[in-house]
Order: sequence, then structure tokens, then C-alpha cells
Amino acid sequence: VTNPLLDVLEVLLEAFDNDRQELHGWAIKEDAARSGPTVYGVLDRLEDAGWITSRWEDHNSQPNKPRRRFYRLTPTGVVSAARLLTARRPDTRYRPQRPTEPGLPFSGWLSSLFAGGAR
Amino acid sequence: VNIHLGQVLLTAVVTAVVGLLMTESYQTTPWLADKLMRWSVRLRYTDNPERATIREEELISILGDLPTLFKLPTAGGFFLRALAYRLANRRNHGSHSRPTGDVLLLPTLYLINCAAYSSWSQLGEVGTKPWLLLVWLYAVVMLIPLAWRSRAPVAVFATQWVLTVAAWPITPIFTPIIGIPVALYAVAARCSKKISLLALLASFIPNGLAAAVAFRTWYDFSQQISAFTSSAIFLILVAVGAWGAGRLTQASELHVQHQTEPRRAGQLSLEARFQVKRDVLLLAAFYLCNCFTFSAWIHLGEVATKPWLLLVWLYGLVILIPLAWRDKAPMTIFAIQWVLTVAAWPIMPLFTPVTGIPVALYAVAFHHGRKISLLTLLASIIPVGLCAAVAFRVFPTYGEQLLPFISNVIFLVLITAGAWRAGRMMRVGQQHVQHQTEPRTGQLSPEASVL
Repeated sequence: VTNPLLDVLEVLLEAFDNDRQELHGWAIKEDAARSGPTVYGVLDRLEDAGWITSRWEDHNSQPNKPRRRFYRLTPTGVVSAARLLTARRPDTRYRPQRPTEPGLPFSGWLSSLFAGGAR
Repeated sequence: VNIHLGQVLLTAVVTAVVGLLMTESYQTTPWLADKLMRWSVRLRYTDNPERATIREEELISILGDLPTLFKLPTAGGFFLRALAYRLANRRNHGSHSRPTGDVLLLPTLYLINCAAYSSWSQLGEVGTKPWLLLVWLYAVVMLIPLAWRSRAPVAVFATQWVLTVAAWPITPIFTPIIGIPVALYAVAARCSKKISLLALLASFIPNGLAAAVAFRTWYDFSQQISAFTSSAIFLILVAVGAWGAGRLTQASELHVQHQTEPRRAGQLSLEARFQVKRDVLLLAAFYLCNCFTFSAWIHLGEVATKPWLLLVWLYGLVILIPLAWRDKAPMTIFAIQWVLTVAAWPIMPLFTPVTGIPVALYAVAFHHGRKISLLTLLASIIPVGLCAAVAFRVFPTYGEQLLPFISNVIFLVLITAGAWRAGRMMRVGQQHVQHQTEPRTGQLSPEASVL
């Protein structure tokens, strides 16, 4: 788990909190204040892990501009990212507001239990 | 009046040409950035064509939104990162190639050598001699084929041979000398004995030409002969050394291949030992070149009257030895290099070894965190400054000292920062590969372990 990864997760979680829910790649790069190659490397990893999904926009809102690709956290990604950030960056601006995974009331407790066991 | 008119016309023509070039470069930059970005994506996602297609469209569209000035640097950043990723990937998958850093190390060392050999002291003369830039560019571009020396050693050797020989009539005073021994090593390590011997014989021609530069730099015939002989002997020694090292490597690899599985651990340690030897030999060869060019290339004929030069060169070699352990204890090795480089300054007039610091710094940047590597980068300012300060010993007057000192500082800082940056990039690339290939264990939570 690297600092750029945590930065990107913070950005995506904040977007999720602000009801924007999805951001295009360069906006994530700007918000995370990391270089483009670093951010896209992180996005690759997150996509491989199933924490985020992406989609092409139908058409760019600005005329004569190519379409962009938007990213957002999956439900699993939201819970996992919040938990990871709480563990790794307890003092940061982000405060997780979702105590448990939707639909599974005890999953958070179970996950933390197994996380403890893994340590 | 004629002179003034001529000056006005010249100024007008120069202004027009510069303007034209600026306009052209402004128009070609987006095209170049576009190409570079596409190459980066292909390089980065060779194993995932679906993602490559997506990223290509996405990144090209982003590039289109950027101001023209930022297009090329952005695409260049993606390209360098993709290159680092690809190199780290090769290393992690246990390919036949030598340590990944080698590919980045070679240009760094050669750049030092190149500048030292050709126009170390002429760096400040670029304003009046702009063709020097082309000379240095040629030397750098020439390196690129060396990246493929393991895959096609004979072809790469032939390329180096042609480029070295071609450099002789094109570039006065300077003939690149590193390409031949490096390619020769690859041929000796990968090909049969007969072919490697033929390559060794063939290398005498470019080496002879490189030594013959003495006839261009010296006016007195006796000085020319002395410099030519010493250069020729030195270059032949380097070539034979590279050939011998390559043969040794091939013998060691064959030996390991012939062992049986139950003795695998022993083989690995044997292989590791040979890798260290190979590494040391390569480093020694480069440093020897650098050492001679920087300190006493032209003093080689003066050994009889100045026997202490032998000690200087010996010191330059001995200082290399700890570098063989740079991957095991990078911080310790950096500290040793730091002390030895700084210690060299009061001991040895005209010579301060410059290679140890960037090589050790690369290892620290690769193996340690960002903060520690940044601290070492800062610490390297002292030895680098001392190396540059040799200018105050070489030139008698303050006016003559200042320019070489500044140019040395700029050059050495670029090399050092480049080594640091290369180490960081390799680290990032390797982390990516590790995340993709290795099972997650240890401190990570189940969620994080997915990454």
C-alpha cells in the first residue's frame, strides 16, 4: 500500500461522499496532486482488485472534445477503501461515513476480525 | 557600412530561421507527444491489449486538452514510467538479462565518460561551438541499441562497430569507446567462442581509431605517438577484459545449467557469485575508462616521471569494490563511497572519482524509501561539489576556473539527480510488478491484500 494509492482512494471517497460518485482520470490526478503515470498505475491496480469500475461517457459536454473515461468506487471498494484509510491515515481529512457494507450488517466486524487474524 | 549591413542581414536571417524553427517545433510537438504516448501505452500494456486500447484513447484525449507546452513532457513522463515498468517486469520474471539497473546505469556512466573524453572542459564553449551538442547527442543515441545486447548480441556489436567507426570522421577529437566493449561482452557471453574471437579481432579497428584521436589532439609527433600507444594499449586491455568477462559468464551459466535439481540452492549461490563478479568487472571497466579520461588519460605517458599516478589509478579501482554489495547494503555502500570520494580530494590532485556516488545513490533510491533516498541525494552534494572544484586546481586564474566549475557542477548534479530518479522509477516499477505477481501476505488487511 503506497502513499499515491491512499491519495487516490481519498479522492475517490470524497467524490463518493459529494454525490459526484465518479471522476475522470485527469481530475483524479489533479485532486490527488500526483503525476499522471502514478495515478494511472494506481487506477490499474484498483481496477484489477475490483475496487473501482470505469466507463466511457456518452459524449463530452464540451463541443469538439473527445469522450472521457470516468472512474468510481464499487460498493466493495467503498468499504475496503474506507477501512484502509482509517487504518493507515487516521488523522487525515477523510472520515469514513459508512460503518458497514450495504446489506451485510456484520461484515465490517467480521472483516476487522479476519484482518486482525491476518496480522 | 558594409559590415553593419552584413550584421543586420545576418541578424535578420538568424531571426527568421530561429522563428521558423520555433514555429515548426511548436507544430510538431503535439504530433511527437501523440506518438510518444501511444508507444508508452503499448509498452506498458503489452500483456493486456484490452486495457491498452482503453488507455490509448483516454490518454490521447487527455493530451489533446493540455497546452502545447506540456504535451511533450507529459507524454515523456508516461513513456519513462512505462519503460521502467517494462524493465522491472523483465527482472521480476527472471529473464536472462542482466540486472535491470544496468540498462539505466550504462547511459549514466557513458554520459560521464562521453563528456569527460570529448569535451568536459568544452562544456562552456557550446555557445561558440554548437556542434558539440550534436557530438554529445550522437554519443547518447549510440547507446540505445545496447539495451538489446542480450537478445541480438552480434547485431548490436555490428551496430556499435559501425557507429564507432562512423563517429571518427564525423566527430573530431571525440570517438565513443564504451559501446564496443559492452557489445563485445554480450557477444562473448551469448555466442560461441569462434564468433566472440572474431568480434574481439574486429574490435581492434574502432579501438585503433579511438586511439588515433591522439593524432588530432597533439601537434608534436612524439606526443602523438606516446598518447596513441598508451590509448591503444588501454583500449585493447579493456576489450580483452570485456571479452574474458563474457566468456567467464557463459561458462558459469553453462555450469549452472548442467547441475541437477537437488543441488539447486548451491547453483543459485554459485550463479549469484558469478553475477557479482560480472558486475564488478563491468563496473571496473567503465570506471577505469572514466578514471583515465577524467584524471590522466593524457598523463599516461608520464607515469615514469610521476609514479604516484599509479596510486591514483589504483585508488580509483579500489573504490569500486564495495559497489559489488550495493544491493545488499545500499546505505553502507553509499556511506563508503561518500567517505572515499571526499577523502580522494585532499589526497589526489587533479583527480576525484565521480562514478561511485551516482551508482550507490541509484542503489539507495531503489532499495529505500523516498525520505532516506532524498537525504542521500542531499548528502551527495558535498562529494559532487568537490569533484567539480577540481577546476580550481586545474586552471590557474579565477576567470578560467569559474566556467569549468559551474559546468562541472551542472553536469554532475544532472548525473546524480538522474541516478536518483532512475532508482526511484525502478522501485515504483518493481512495486507494481510485485503487486501483480506475488501473493499477498504479512501486514496487509484482507482488503488491502487484494491490491
